[in-house]
Amino acid sequence: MDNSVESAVNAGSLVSSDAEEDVLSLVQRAKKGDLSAFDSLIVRYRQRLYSVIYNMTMNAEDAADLSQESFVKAFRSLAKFQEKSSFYTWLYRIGVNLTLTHLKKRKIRQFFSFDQASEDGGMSKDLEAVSSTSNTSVKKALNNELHEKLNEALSKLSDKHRTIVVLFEIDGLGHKEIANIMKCTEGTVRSRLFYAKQQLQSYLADYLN
Amino acid sequence: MKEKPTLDDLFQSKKLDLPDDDFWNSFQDRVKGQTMAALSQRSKTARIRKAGVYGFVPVLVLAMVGWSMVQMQVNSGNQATLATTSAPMGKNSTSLSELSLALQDDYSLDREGALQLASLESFDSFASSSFQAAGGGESFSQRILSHSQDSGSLSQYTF
Repeated sequence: MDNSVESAVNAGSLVSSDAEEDVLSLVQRAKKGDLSAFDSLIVRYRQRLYSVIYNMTMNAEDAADLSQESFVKAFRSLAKFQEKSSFYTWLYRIGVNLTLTHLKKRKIRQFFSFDQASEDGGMSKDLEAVSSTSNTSVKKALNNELHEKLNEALSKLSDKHRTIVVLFEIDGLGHKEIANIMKCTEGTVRSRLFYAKQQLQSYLADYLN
Repeated sequence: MKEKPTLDDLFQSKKLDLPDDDFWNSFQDRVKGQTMAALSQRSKTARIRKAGVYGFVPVLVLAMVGWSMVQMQVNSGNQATLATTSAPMGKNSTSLSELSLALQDDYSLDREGALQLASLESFDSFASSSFQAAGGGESFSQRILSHSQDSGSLSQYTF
């Protein structure tokens, strides 16, 4: 595994208890209105949160807007955060809920616009936009065609199934954490994950080993 | 022949699908701007709430004073009765005084001593007397006016 891959995987791994304490002190400072502490929290979680939201929406602009909105909402609601769960679980819940609401609204808009063709076209443009913003060393490592196929397959899943796949397979969260974020049981997470992976395997059967 | 990737390989490659540093710089700036706006809005809201709380107290006090004054007026309005009597009149001021005293007796008799005369004053055209309930609570005043000395009639108004 090269350095960039390794750092990306580490960024996706769970935070250690020391880091968790550090986060708590940042949260407590941010609660008192310390913007620099909140800035540090943004830097710590922005990449992971954006990645989750992007893979849920498959749209770079929406992902940027929604992740910004999630941080601002988190800042506004910081006083309500009782530190019963970890900060990132709470932040993810805000982000995931905002994104699920956004996806519902988008589906309703699409239903009334009767414009499935332009929707598909839009998604390709979004993927292209993300590819153009990705750094070049990473781009080389990717097989663009397969990447697009995976995105297409993910977009065929239901919002909840896709969210669980993204949180587990791409962000590296555990079943329990996902259950906390999605407010469902661990069993539901496992069964949805199993079903979703089966679906993905069948959609990508021609391209996978 | 090139081997096909697995689903896990694709997920691994997905982790690298992230924007560059320029994107993050602008992202950070935008979130910072929005959080600062939220912070200033929060302090503005807090100021408005504070002003509302502190402003509410004098308004409440004024409202209570106003309400109690209105209540007092309503109570005195309820007590007020208007009665007219006609009686023969001789010399004005003397007659009025006598009549007032007579009326006091009437009230004392009618209400079984519930009213007491608090004060009695005689003027040229009217006599003013005030009565108070025996318990010391309610009170009312009474003025006896003369319509016309020629006709000898007397009107009595009780407030």
